[in-house]
Amino acid sequence: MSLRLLTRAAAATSRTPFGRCCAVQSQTRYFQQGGSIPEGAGYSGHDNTKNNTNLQILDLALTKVHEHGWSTAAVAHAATELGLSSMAHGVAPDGAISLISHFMDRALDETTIEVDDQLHEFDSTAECLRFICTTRLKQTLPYVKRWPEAAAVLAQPQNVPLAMRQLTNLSSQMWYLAGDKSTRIDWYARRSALAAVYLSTELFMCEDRSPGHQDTWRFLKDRFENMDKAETIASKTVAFGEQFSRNLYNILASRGYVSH
Amino acid sequence: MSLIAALRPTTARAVANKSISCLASSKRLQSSYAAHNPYLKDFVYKDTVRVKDGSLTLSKDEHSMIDRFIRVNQAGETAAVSIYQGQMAILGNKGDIKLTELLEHMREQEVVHLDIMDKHIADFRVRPTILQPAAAVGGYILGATSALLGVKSAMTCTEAVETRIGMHYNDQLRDLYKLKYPQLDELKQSIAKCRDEELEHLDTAVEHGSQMAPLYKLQFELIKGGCGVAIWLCERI
Repeated sequence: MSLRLLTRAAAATSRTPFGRCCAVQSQTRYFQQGGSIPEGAGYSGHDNTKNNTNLQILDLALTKVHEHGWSTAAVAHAATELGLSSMAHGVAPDGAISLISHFMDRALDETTIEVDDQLHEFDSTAECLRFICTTRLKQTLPYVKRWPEAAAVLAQPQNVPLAMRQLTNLSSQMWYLAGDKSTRIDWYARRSALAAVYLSTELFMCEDRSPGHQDTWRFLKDRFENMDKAETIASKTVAFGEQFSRNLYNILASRGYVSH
Repeated sequence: MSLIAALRPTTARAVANKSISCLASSKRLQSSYAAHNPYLKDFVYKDTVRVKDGSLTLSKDEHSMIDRFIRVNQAGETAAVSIYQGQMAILGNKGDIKLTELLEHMREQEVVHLDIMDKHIADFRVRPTILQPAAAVGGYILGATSALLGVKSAMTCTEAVETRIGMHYNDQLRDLYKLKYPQLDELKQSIAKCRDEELEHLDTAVEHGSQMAPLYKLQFELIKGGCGVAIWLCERI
C-alpha cells in the first residue's frame, strides 16, 4: 500500500502545474483512505470506493467500444472483465448516453492536462484555440469509426440537453484555457462560435479518409479564419453604428430638436 | 416540486452536506484508457472547478453558488449604473448643481463596483447573465421614469433599489462566510465594500426627501418587488 502511494506521488509531482495541484488532491485522498480522518468528517469511504469502481468500469468499457459500440454491451463486458457481475452495467444507467458522456468528460480532462504546459508557446488566442481544438479532436480520433453512432445518440431529442451541456462545457473550458477574459454578452458569442467550429470539424473528421487526417486540420484552420473574419465584421458594424448614432444625435442637437 | 427546489437558494449548508466527490483508489486492475495518465485513474475534473488562475479548487456546488452570486451582482451593478444615467439624463440639466454632483458621485461609485464585478467574473469563471442588455435598458428606463416624476420620486427609486440590493449583498455575505478558503477573502471584502456604499446611497436618498414623494409606499414597494424579480431572473438566466 505505502509503496503504491510513493510511486503514485512520485509520478504525480513530475508533472506541470495542473498535475501538481492534482497530486495534492490525490495525496489527500490516500490520507483519507488510510483512515486518519475520523468518520463523519464529511467524506464517506463507501461512496469513494463505489465511485472509483464506476469510473473503472466505464474506462474499461471505452476500450470495448470498437467491438460493441456505444452500448450497454460494452459496459457489461468491461464489468465481466473486472470480475464483477455483468449486471454492473447499471453504472451507465442510460446505456449509450452515459458511456458517451463519460468519454467526453475524460477526453476534456485529457485535453486540459495535455495542453496545459504547451499553451505558452502560442502568441495569439486563435492559435491557442486551434491547438486546443486539435488536441481535443485527437482524443476522438481512436473512436472515429464509431463516433457517428455517438453523434446520432447525442442528437436524439431526450439527449439534446445533455449534449448541449457537454458542448457548452467544452467550448467554455477551451476559451478558459486560451485565456479568455470576456465579461459581457460577447461571452456567449465567443462560446457559441467556437462550439459551431468544433462541432462541424468533428463531423467532418468522421468522413475524412485523407492520410493523417490532414483535410480535417485544414478544415479546422479555415473555420478559425472564418471566425476571425466574422468577429472583425461584427466589430466594424458595431463601430459604424455607434459613430452613426452619435452623428445623428449631434445633427439633431444642432437643429435644436434634442437638448445637449 | 422541482420548482420549489429551484426557488430554494443554494446555501453553504447545502454545499457542506453534499460532500465533495472525492474518490479513493482500489486494488483492482486499472483500465488501459486511463493507464497512461495517473491523474485520471480515479478522478474526473468535472466534479471540481479551478478558479483564480488555478490557485483555488472549488467543488461544483461551491462554484455554482459563487457563480450565481457574481452573475447577479454584475447584472445589478450594470442596472445601477444605468439607473443613475437615466436620472442624470432628466435631472442633469435642471440647473441644480448640487443634485447633479450627487448623482454623478453615486454613478461613479457604481462604475467602480461594476469594474470589480467584471474582474471577479473573469477570475471565478462566471457565466455573465444573458439578460445584461435588458438590465442596462431596464435600469435606464426605471431611472428616467422615476426622475420624470420629480426629484423626490427619483430618490424613492434609489432608496428602494438600494434597500433590496443591500439585503441581497448581506444574504450573499452570510453564505460566503461559511466557505473558509483564504482565496475568497478578496471577494468577501469587495462585496462588503459594495454593500456599505449602497447603504450610503440609501441614507443619502432618505436625506434628500425620498419618503416625502407622492405615493411613497406604493412606489417603494413596486420598485423593490421589481428588483426582487430581476434578481431572481439574473441569478438563473
